[in-house]
Amino acid sequence: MQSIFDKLTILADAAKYDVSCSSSGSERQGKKGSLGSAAKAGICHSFTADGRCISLLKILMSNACSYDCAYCLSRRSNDLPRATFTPQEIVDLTINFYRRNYIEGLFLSSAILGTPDYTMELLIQVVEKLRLEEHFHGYIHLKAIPGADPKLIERAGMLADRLSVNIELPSEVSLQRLAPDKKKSAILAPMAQIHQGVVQNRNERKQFKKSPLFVPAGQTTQMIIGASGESDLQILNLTSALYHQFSLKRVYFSAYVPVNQDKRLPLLTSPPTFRENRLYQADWLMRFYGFRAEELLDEAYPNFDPNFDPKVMWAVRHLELFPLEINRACREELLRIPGIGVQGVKRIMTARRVAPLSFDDLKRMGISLKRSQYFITCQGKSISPVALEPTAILRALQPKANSPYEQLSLFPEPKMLTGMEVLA
Amino acid sequence: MKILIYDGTFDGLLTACFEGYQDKTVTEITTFDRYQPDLLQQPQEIITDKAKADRVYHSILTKLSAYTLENIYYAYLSELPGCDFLCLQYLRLCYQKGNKINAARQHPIIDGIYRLRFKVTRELDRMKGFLRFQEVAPLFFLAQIEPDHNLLPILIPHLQKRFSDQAMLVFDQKRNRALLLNGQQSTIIPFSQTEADNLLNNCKADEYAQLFRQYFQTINIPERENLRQQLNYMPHRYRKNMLETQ
Repeated sequence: MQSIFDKLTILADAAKYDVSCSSSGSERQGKKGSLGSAAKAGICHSFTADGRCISLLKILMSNACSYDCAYCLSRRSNDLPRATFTPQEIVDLTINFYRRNYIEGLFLSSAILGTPDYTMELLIQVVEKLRLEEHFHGYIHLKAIPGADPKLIERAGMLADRLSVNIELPSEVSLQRLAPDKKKSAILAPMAQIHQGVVQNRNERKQFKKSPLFVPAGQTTQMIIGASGESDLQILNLTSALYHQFSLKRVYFSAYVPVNQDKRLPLLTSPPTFRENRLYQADWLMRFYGFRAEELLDEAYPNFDPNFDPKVMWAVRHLELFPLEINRACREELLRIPGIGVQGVKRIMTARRVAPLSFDDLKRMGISLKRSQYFITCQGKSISPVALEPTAILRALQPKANSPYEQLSLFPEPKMLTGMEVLA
Repeated sequence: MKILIYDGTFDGLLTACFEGYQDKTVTEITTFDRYQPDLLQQPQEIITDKAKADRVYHSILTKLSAYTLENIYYAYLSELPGCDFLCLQYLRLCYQKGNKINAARQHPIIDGIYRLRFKVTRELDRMKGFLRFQEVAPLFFLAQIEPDHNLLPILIPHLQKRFSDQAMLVFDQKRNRALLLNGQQSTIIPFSQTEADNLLNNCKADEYAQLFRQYFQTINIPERENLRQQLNYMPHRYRKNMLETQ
């Protein structure tokens, strides 16, 4: 008989590759006399040594999987300890962790225990206990298991704050190769259903304020980066399509951590976190900065530059739009200046209504000029130390090597200036 | 060269602002706790006057805005050197230029106020997450914190909304004060470390603390270690009261 301690160890370990931990976006209110509330902006309760936050109790119901996906630690063919929680055990953990302010809520996922329907039913049992027996109003993120009955998905949506279906791999070909038990259609079906439910619920709540919430924090998905051969362009196009078709709240990217020895998988020494970072930057540009996927990458250059962020690369390819006058440019234009973010734009827009801004003002307001100085003017003046041409700007923006001195090598490292090659 | 000294309450600060508003010789405002005698400055004691404080309070609400009042309150809670005098300067500026001056982030005084506000609200957001309760009696929880700023009064709404069915005591170790609250009521009382230790010694080892410590270790992906990022998000000074990093 496994103790709860052992189960927690096994099932938290199996859940750690799920990226999402956000607890934001829900408008669920606390209720007098019962436990829990959701915070609109989300709250992080701790940070682990890998720099990721602990917001939700992220855990699997079970890791006894009947599928055999190449990239997954819990796959059927791996010989490792298996464990399955009872619904009551998860409820006790959640409530007691929550009362001590360790967590913001529960993120419950599971390996496929027998059939998708059975697994989904187990997950729903946990959430029903939490919501209906314990009157828990905290945040709950639930995995919708692909292939489960639409009625079960619907039920889950009525109870959880957020649902997610993992798309796992960026193309159907990779999915067939690495996760033969999973079908693209089975993944997209619940996504479409949840999307429809959210739209319908939004309309209902406009008419009837008290109609019950359905997935108030929206749905998300996740894909693994670097386990299959797709280019950044393919990934970005897929991401953009997912945002448009299903109005996802987030698409998460997870750098592939080599956990299994498998001939179908690439040999990596470390997870491709740099690539993951560039994809996230592009994701933000699409969601908050008004960029379209095809503006950031194209067929000729299908991958992001390791040395320069996507916004800088876009800007040096469109220097005809620069320099922009900070005191006159509209919001959309300001958002496209490298080094200036959504908050910075907001500050500029309010402050310049009172008086025209100078570079000193920008500095005082906490707007970084490190990258933006090459692309802007303040009251007609520029402080850019270099000419407004791609090569000069990229040379100035090139990341500095850690030390000015180095051990010379007969076979030197490849040069850093890949951004220039793109422009050549 | 005059320095106004008040008793450290918000009403006291508003009274000091009332007294110092016209007096251009005032160059500093501070509290009794923070006051350092100075050869050049002439100290003047401010006696907290509820009527004067109320006048300032309501004047800010009607002539300026609730937002301005909020800014002053956050600046007061920051308890940083210079924060009290900055409040007076801010008030003078707002009354002179009108409420719309709040938009002028390029102005050093406005910027100073926003920076204080940012520091306090950021720490508040962090503390909402980093606070760790221990159950000292059934449904009675104790947390110890040591925040840079005086957070106890602004933690109340969050804690009451979230834990409306439990009684809580949040002990501020730096200021020797505690926030005692349940779903309906809240009060701030003087408190000491010995009293807190007494409460803690009575309770037995918590099984869930053990489980959470294990969870914290397990959920980490060692291949992606990034201590720098962890430090940015969770500075060392908060860790000593968090069970998972003790």
